[in-house]
Amino acid sequence: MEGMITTTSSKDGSILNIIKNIFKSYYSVLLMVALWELVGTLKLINPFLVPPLEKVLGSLYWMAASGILFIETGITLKRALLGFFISIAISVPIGIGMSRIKFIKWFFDPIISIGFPAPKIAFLPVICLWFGMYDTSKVILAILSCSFPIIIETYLGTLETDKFLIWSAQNMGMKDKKLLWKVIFPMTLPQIFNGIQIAAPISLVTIVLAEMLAGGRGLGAYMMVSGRFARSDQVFAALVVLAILGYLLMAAMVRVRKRLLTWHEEAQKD
Amino acid sequence: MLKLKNRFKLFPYVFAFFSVIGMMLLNGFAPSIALSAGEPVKIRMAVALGTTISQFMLMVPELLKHNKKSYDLELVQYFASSAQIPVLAAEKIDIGWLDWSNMSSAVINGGLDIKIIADLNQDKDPYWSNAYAVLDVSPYKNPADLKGKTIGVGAFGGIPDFVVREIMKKYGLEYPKDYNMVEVQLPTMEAMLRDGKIDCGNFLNNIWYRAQQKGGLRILFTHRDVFNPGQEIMHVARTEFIKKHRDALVDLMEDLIRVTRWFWNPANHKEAVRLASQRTKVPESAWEPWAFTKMDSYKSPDCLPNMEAIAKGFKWFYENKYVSRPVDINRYSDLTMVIEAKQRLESGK
Repeated sequence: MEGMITTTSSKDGSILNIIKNIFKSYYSVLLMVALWELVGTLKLINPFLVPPLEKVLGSLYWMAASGILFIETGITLKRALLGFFISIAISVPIGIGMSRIKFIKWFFDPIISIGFPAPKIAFLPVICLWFGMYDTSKVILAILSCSFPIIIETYLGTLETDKFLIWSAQNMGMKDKKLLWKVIFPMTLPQIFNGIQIAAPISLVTIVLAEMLAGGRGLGAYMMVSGRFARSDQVFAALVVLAILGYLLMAAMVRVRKRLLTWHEEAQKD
Repeated sequence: MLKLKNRFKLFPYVFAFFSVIGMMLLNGFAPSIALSAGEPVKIRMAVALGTTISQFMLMVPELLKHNKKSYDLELVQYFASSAQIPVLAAEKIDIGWLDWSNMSSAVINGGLDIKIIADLNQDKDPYWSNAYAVLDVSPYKNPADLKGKTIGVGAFGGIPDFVVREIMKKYGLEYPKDYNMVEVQLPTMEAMLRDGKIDCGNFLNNIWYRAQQKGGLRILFTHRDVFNPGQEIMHVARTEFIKKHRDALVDLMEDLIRVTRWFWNPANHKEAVRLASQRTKVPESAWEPWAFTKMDSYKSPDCLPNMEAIAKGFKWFYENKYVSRPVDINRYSDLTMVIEAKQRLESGK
């Protein structure tokens, strides 16, 4: 995950060096952009199917100037983040509970075994019927999609906590509650974070898919409506926005992880 | 020889090079079937749901005089007209079905070169007109009562969407300021309405008549209240395909007219209903009272679309600023094939 964001430090902060560093870090993306422009300029592919880069950038500009970009992005982000944070709040306690309390494991184990591989988006029509076409149904779907990886990672992380640390703490008279909070939970944090980092893009993808299928504003719905009006440039513009959004989300996750786990041995290794 | 480490650095450039070559090949060699003399032309035709006739064509092979001879028909089901725009652009189908709003978008926004070639479904008095219904017990007596409420449509960007916008505009209501519109899959429209998730829903004929069996719904307004007469959907074909395979298309049109007239012949009603039931897996009792009768959508027995209605639709779409210029109906239609097919059929050749 950390490899996604490579921070290259340059001794000389000149603009040329900054550009050089950006090129080194993102040359594959820049190559794809150059290829896109080449394809568009030479009309190698039907411009309806792959609109030229400048047309897409023009649409982006129009989206920003008209405010649509911020409104639709805000709606999508709000739903994705709401679903994401609620799923963390629900899933981490369940994961820890499953490793510590037999009844909780007995109850949730079959649900997770069956639910994890199932495509949650398939439940969208039913969820819309139960909860309506707006935010609620989409956030619920995001919670469903994000919960499983977080529960599994939390459960496995808690199980794999170093037994010697637990025994040492118990030998020093630490009670169960304090043991969970002071030893098990901190040691499990890296694995919990693994689950959270997996869940973050899942949340965004789920929300966008739900918007595409069920409408109700947001970038996904905007893409679908643009497609209906044969405005492929607007579709691609929304895709670019989603790509940037996803990238920023992952970058934020990496930074939060580094910050929260500065004390952990994985941070010491860096 | 490059070291193994250095070879991997070349990978993006190699990938880019072969991507460009691959795209050029795909674009250049996209479906152009080299036909030897006498081989039937493969025609991939998109078909719609409901009682649109073209979807039943392969179920009555005895009526298809030219299938497997001058053309080889492949039917592809599509649930929405707008979904066919990229497919037509990618040349994955040769004949699609669009309404005038989708066609305007495809031609003006998408730059597609397609022509109207035949009728599929019309809105004509006294035949069925697509309905917008509310619960019988609801307080809504006219569209103005839907202020602040939610209206369900099958898809944004199609005629059902614009019917709502236009009729609400007549009552001084603007979307999204004064009311809400949501996309609802047509088969779930009834459930959403009865469950109170939407206040008004758009119903096609087959879904409406099924819902009527349970009762409790009432039509508030129809498509005809806005666009009268109306052309719902029509068959369109890629211009390039028409140029290459006009004769095969005339034969297809002749068979389509023959099948349309057969299905709408009251003498064949029972068999037509049986075939519709077989195709859609919906019981015959759900089709029998209304399908292929005056309670159904109008289909021209000559498969000729209502060009006046289409032209009005194109003009409306442009005047409401969905496209930058109106579609030139003369440039984007070619009814010569269906007219020739009709004359041939009636002359008995």
